[in-house]
Amino acid sequence: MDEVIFIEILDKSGRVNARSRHDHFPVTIGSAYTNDVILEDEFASPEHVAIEQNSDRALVINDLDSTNGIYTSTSVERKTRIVVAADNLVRVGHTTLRIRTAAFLPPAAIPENVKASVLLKTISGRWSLFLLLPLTLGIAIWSVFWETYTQIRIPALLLPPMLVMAMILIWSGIWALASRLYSHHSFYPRHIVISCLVFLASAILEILCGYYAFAFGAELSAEIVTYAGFTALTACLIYWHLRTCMQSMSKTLPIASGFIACTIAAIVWLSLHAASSNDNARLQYNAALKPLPFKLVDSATVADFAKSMAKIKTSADSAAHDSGR
Amino acid sequence: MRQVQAQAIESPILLSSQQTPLPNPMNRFSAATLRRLFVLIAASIHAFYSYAASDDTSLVFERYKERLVQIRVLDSASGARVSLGSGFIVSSDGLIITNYHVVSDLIQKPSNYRADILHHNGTIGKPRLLRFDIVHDLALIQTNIPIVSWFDFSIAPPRKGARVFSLGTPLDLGFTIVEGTYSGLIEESLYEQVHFTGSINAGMSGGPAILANGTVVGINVASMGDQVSFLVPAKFAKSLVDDAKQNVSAAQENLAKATQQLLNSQNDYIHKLLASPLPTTVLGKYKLPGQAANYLKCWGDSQRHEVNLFEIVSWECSAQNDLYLSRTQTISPVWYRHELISSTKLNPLRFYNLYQNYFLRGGYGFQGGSDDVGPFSCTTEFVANVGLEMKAVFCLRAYKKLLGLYDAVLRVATLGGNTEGVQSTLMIQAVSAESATRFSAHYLEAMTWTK
Repeated sequence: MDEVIFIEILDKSGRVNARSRHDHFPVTIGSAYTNDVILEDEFASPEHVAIEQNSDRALVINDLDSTNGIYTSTSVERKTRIVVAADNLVRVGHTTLRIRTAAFLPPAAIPENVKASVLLKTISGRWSLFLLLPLTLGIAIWSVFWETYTQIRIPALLLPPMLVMAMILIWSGIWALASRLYSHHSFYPRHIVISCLVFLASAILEILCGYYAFAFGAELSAEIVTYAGFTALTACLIYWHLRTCMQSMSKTLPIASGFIACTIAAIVWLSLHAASSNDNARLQYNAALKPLPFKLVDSATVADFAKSMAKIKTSADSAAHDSGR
Repeated sequence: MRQVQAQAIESPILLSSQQTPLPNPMNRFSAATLRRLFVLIAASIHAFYSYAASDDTSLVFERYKERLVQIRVLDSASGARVSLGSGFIVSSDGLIITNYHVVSDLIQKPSNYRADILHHNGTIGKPRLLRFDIVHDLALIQTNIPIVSWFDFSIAPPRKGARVFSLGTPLDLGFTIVEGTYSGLIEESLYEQVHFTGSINAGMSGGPAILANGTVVGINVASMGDQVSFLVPAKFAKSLVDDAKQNVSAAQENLAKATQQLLNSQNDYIHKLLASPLPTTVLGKYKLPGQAANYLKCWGDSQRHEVNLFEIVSWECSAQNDLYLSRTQTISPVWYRHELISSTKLNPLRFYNLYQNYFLRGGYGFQGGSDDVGPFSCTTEFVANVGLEMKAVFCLRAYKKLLGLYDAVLRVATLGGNTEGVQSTLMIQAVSAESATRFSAHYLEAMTWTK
């Protein structure tokens, strides 16, 4: 008896669209009605290829003098004859075919419990959602309260936090839709947890950096830390969302997330910097002001500060020189 | 068309200084008699003058219009007029005095602009720039048009109240005369100016202010509207003319000269300010730099709104004289402002949030395009002065054409108050970096606790 093979027609993303079982050779493929596998492809000839068994019982794909020929997935060179290996793809017209033979050994199944990271599994329980949502709302209200210096009006106090919550729910909703399209489950609560966590972390980061900047008089390094922190948080956000969507661990995922976050950070930085560097009237300084007990460094004397002031002349000169070009 | 140079807005204090002091108390009888006598004399003088005025004015104008010119600055590329100003002839060889701001385009960008001198009789001539005085806003040019008559400078300044006629070419309406009163030198002024009670209009800049006998007492320079105008004292124009006559072959005037003039004038006032500790004023628990010189005018204000959980009391000083440097840059030489921000309703952490946001807000209204100045560079540090902890920011930007001049800003926020603090801003413009630094340090040294 001849060998049994499966011919699979793949879609653009590599998923199987149709699969047929064959145990008699040759198997003919083309757009004509007489073929064993009929392709709905305007670039396929009526009799395009035939899969035959040669004398060594190896499977060979032969081009039947078709218009557009046959190709392997790895080369752009037109072939007249391709020997079927365990897992190779063949392009016929614009259709990608995969020939599955008995030699093909599928990989072992991925155990379901490594699909999500341990951290995500721990934090995305139902209890954490009920804890995180009110906490996020609370932090958002608190930060509005903290930034309001007029008499508090409840609508003005609640509106921005409500908008923040709406944004979190919508953002998570978009990711949940992506999850649903990509896998069998939307993971909406998990996406909400991710968004809330990143929001909280960024709020805390900003506060801590403000106090750090004041305590050590280190506005510049605090700014850098804040910027790096926000970039890292963006990377985490994208990574966790994608990870939840894809339900599997891929080596390229952390790199891709980091790359996307860095790109976003670079665009933001460039647009901010480009806008401000041309402004001759803007005082480009940052100064954190907190209650005096938070200060941990010594103050300069007026004479010392005069020395720092004198040093600024050099950078003002070079700034004027650079901006002239 | 350029409007007449604008003055600083807050003016009541400046004006009040010009009011004559009240007479000493006298006994009732003689005071009443004198008053009656005075009214009688005043009425007859007024009748005489109002008769004479219309006659005089037209006479003055007819007699002296020959000595006036209009200066039209034109765009080289299109030949279109960019600005109009006035000028007047001061010698037989065609020397003309006008304002620096009328011809500044020719100095700043000689390749982009040219100018025409339009004489009253319709002759058009070309100007050649001989001298300028950027501090007093004067320029001396020479033209090739035939000269019939010219103005002489008044030897001594006229008495206060003398009738003065200001001539010029306002708003392209042809040659015009405005009558007013010479109200004397503004003594409390960084750069000497004369107060003139007539309406100098746009385009009259650079025209002469003359007595009925035709001698020049000042040069039209600026107006605040409502019959409040300013003249440059004639002596500064006279010294330009004298200098040009004595040093005929002196080097071409250029921007380096402008820098030097500004640096010299800065020597006059910054070094005086540095000579002794600054006088202080008290705001809350803080002693702060007060009115440091008589040409600085200071006033206060406070913001208290019921909805706000804080209040701001402010105190501000500035020199009234704005200085015209270029079309895109008019500067205020010295300006500082203290703001006492306090709250009884905010907790310290929330107060300092407000305090920080207030400190970081911008909006200083600096002028100067990218041709004039570079961007600011800043340094930030904790500074302590006699126990008062402060956060100080010092920013400096360099001039691009007037090399060696800088604009400086010092921002200071006092620390140590739980729910109150003073934020102080000092701005000094068109000074050397060294003066900026030294005066900023001097300013910081004047900030202490009151106790």
